[in-house]
Amino acid sequence: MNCHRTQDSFIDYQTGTLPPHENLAVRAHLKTCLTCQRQWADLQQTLLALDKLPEPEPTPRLRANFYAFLEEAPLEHVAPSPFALARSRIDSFFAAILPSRPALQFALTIALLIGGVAAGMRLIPPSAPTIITRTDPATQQELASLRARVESMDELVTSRLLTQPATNRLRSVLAALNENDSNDRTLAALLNTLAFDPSVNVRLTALEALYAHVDRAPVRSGVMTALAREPSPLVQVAMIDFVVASRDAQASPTLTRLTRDPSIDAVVRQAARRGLAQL
Amino acid sequence: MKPKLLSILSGALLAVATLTAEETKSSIAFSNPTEPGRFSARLSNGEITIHGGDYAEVTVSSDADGAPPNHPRDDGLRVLSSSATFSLEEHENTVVLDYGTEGWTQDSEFHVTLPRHTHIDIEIGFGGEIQVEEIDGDIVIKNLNGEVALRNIGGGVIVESANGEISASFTKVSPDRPLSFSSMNGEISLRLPADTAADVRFRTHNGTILTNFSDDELITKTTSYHRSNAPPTGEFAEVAADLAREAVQMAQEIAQEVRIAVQEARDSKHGPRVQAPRAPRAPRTAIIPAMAGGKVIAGTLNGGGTSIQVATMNGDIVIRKNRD
Repeated sequence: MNCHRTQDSFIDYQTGTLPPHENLAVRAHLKTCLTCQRQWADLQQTLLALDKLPEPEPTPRLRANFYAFLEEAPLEHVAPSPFALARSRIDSFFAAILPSRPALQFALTIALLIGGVAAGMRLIPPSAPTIITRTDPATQQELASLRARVESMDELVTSRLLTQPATNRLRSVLAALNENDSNDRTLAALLNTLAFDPSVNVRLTALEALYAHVDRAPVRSGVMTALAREPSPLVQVAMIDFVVASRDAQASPTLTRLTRDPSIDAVVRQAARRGLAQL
Repeated sequence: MKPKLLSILSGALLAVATLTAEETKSSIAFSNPTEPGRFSARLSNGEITIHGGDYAEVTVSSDADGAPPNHPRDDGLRVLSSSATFSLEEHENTVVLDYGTEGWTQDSEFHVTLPRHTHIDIEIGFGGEIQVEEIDGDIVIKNLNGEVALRNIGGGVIVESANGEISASFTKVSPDRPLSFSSMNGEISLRLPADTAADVRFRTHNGTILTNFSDDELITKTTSYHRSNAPPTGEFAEVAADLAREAVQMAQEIAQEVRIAVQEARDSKHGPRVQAPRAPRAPRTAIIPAMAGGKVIAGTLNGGGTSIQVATMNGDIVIRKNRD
């Protein structure tokens, strides 16, 4: 290793960051080279002297200088962006309109609203009443007879039916059962009774009245729909008998659903299974 | 020892309460006593017994408190919220007895007397025994649990019950007063006058149908489905054929009767009056057959007339002749 290279490596040698073979090379050179020895000694002295120097204490003026620096810095380097400015303005605007006293302000708002509505109602005149023309006696009579006819129509279709006592409703259904007419209106009324009548006995009788018309598809589908909603197991079993006797293939999915529904009475489910076996 | 003391105290209180339970009697009149009025009882629970008779008004006596709206307490306040009061009101010939429909109430007994021709409507939410005697009006009963006993009834009846026996005995059965009974569990037993003419429809799932009417009085056709004798063709064909046969038979019978009557009229001038032949009855509609287990019996009693329907899930059906 020559002197030049050795002297270049002195700092690294001092800090111990030389690779091992260069380390050995420097040490070997220093043993024999007087020039480098002298350089090494100078270096060590300089380092010692440096170590001995006292640490400089911060002067009192440093503190003042530092704060002065802080004050100046934002004004110089952090110029407010237009967005930030706008946002701060918006924030302060909302802060101003948000209720600082919510209860009072809410009450005032409601009072204003009610006052406005009341004033409006007073100010705007009510619409003129519609004028009913007086009809002449002939028309009145016709109206009366029409009214009577509508009222005397098959009682099953009128909504008055459900306010009738159960005995009257049963009589109406029995009349339909005995007369056996396949009038559409009667059938619709019977299906209505089957689906909505509050009495089990009346529903059962309506089902039996419908059986005479089981060949009609709307009757069958009406009964199947009612079966899904029927609360009484007695009527449910009778309905199952009905759909199975009708040999309607469309009954299978309804019956299958019944067998799977755990909320349905076990006897009904068993009846549905037996019915399915025959479809 | 605290729980024991508490139970003793509460026992004593109950005893005192029951011992001092007073009967309340309340009467109310129909606005139009000449027309058959309607008596409607809406109870949440409790027993009710109704006696029909030659009474002028409806009287209810009960161990529940009547609701006297004009009886303030000593401090001048009226109790509105008492849970054991019933109310008895009349409106347009309908008397309504209301008990406990607004909340839980203790079991109470009600004894009602009213005119014989009143129509009766009873609905008990949770159930209790119902007894109705000597009524000629129409009876509608809806009960959940508890026995329903009807005695000496002369009008139409609809009974719907979930659990409990239903027993009914009739003094008279009229063609325009249908009878219908339905129950889930419990025997249904009817006693009918021997000459009752009715169209009967009985349906039971797990029970038996019994009668002491003879074979020629009560003519029935049983349909109960057995897989082994499944008809190969649809039930329709069979039923339609049956109906057709019936219709033809009926037409023949009528023709025969007319012939006999005309003959008799011709034969004897001063003989017995010609009896009009029996009006032809419309052919009976087909009854829903029992396809899913269960038994369905349809038939006629003494030729047919009033509709009598009995449907039960797990109970027996017993039809008896009145022994008189």
